[in-house]
Amino acid sequence: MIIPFPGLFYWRNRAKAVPLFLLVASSVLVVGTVATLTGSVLMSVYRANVKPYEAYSLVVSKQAGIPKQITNEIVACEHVEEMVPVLDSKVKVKGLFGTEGRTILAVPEDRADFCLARIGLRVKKGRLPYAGEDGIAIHEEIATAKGISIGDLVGREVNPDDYLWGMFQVTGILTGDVPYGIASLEYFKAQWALDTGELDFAYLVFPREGYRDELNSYLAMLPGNQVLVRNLGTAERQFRSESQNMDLLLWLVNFLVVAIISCAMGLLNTVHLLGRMKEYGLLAAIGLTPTQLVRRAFDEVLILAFAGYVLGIVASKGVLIYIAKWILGPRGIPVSPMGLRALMFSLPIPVMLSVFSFATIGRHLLRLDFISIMEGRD
Amino acid sequence: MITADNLSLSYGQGQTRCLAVNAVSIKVERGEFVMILGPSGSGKSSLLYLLSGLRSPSSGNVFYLGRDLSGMRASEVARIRYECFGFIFQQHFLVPYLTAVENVCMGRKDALKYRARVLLHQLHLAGKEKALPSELSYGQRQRVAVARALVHEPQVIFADEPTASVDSELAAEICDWLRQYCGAGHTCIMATHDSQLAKYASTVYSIRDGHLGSAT
Ligand SMILES: Nc1ncnc2c1ncn2[C@@H]1O[C@H](COP(=O)(O)OP(=O)(O)OP(=O)(O)O)[C@@H](O)[C@H]1O
Ligand SMILES: [Mg+2]
Repeated sequence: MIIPFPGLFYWRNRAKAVPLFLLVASSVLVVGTVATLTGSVLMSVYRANVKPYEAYSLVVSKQAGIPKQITNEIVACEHVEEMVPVLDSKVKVKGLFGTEGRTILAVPEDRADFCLARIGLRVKKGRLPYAGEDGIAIHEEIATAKGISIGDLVGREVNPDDYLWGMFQVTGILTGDVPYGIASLEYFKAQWALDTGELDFAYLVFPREGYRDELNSYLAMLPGNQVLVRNLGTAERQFRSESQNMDLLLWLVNFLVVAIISCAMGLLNTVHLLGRMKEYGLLAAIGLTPTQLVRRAFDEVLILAFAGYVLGIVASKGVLIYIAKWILGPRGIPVSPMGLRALMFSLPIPVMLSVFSFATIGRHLLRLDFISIMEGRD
Repeated sequence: MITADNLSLSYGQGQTRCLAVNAVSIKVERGEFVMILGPSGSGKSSLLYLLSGLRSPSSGNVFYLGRDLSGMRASEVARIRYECFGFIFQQHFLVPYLTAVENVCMGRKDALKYRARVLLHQLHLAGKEKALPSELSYGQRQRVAVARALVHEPQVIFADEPTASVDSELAAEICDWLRQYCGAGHTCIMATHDSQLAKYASTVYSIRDGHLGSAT
């Protein structure tokens, strides 16, 4: 290693380095945290609206019930493992940026366990509602978000924001990846305004293991004027078109903020580097080539920028753990662990800082008249 | 070892043009201790810059071991400066945030630190190894700069007024020291305005308005 070691300047001149270092760290902290929180919102929307379609496809009547002949067609498909009649509704929960809907599925009592298992849910506390009972089992996140538990009431008569028609008593708490609620189809049907007679209104169609795509192609051939099919593909498309806007906005804001702060920091760093021109001049006189000098300057900028970056990421991680545990967790809003997204959004800060500092300093170093600098003629 | 042929260096252009070195030819052999004696502004620093490849001449050539410096790529000249030359600058700039030892090893491998300590010891700076330049006197800083030029055992030392800011006793010691270094097969070219020091040199040239006088 050649003396002075890169970074030694910042280490020995902490009064100069610390503000810059903390500036990098705090911007990374803010950007990383915001990116993770928005990522969490997207994740929770994904879990609620897309993930369930990994387990089933939904066939809904566009008229007053699904005709027997279509039902028979679905049953005849070799890729179908189970077809479960269903009615669905929604309750509202407070998310990070506004309210989000959570689906309640009403299924026949004897198929409820199967559906639960396939969707990836299990009963954590209490029980599923009995056939014809005005009960409901809800996911723990819905329960926490609404501040209710077993024995409490839920439904439009309790909270007019919920679509869930009537008043239901919570009989159980569910846990698992998909934040759903389960009610009794028999009870729903009795309350249902639309009389479908003998016909079912909608089906959850569960594919045989590994045959989801085949099933979906099959279901796509059902008459479109009679039924609507919602599957993983359509759910993903909708999710993407909704989340794209949010991500675009975020990138734009992020880009502006990052550009401004990194240019400001780059300027500060350039001032430090320009103040050390005599040092670079001396190194040049001793016999280091301009390329070596440029390398050294670049190493120094990188060390500072990425040390700040690492501190920012670590701090952001800490803040997120705190937020998850003490602020959002108790309100039933899950925070995803900090991931690639936070790194991606905040990485431009050290990169742009480095590029900016380097673009300014590099030019000087390549055209260094070191004798003039050392004699103080510059 | 070093030969210069009809060297000239001018600064500026037109009206303000100034010929700092004027048609200088010189031949320095291995083991010689050459002193260039002249008043302020006579072109001593400029001549040393040319001979050491720190500046390119306006006309003329400098040869090191028979190789023409002006015919080389800048990186080759830099390499020769790095490995074979040592320079004591008139303004002995030290890097403010580095300790004495680190300043001596400036731009060089960590492993030279041991030799740097020995040199500082010989230059009566024992105990000041970890001092920052701001904690050293002017003369002490000068000595650190001397050590910096010597730490890699260069073939040729260029010394631009190395005794300018030290007392006469230390000045004598530094010259004695440089003379010993030459005795060991190295070469030294020193610029000074102090004719008292001429007795240490093996060859003395006088310089005036960029013209080099004959050797004595
Ligand atoms: N970068 C420069 N631009 C213009 N003129 C210069 C420059 N450097 C030196 N000179 C001029 O060249 C002449 C010789 O300068 P130089 O520094 O070589 O003299 P010197 O003998 O080293 O003087 P001193 O003993 O004061 O250091 C002076 O007249 C000086 O004004
Ligand atoms: Mg001079």
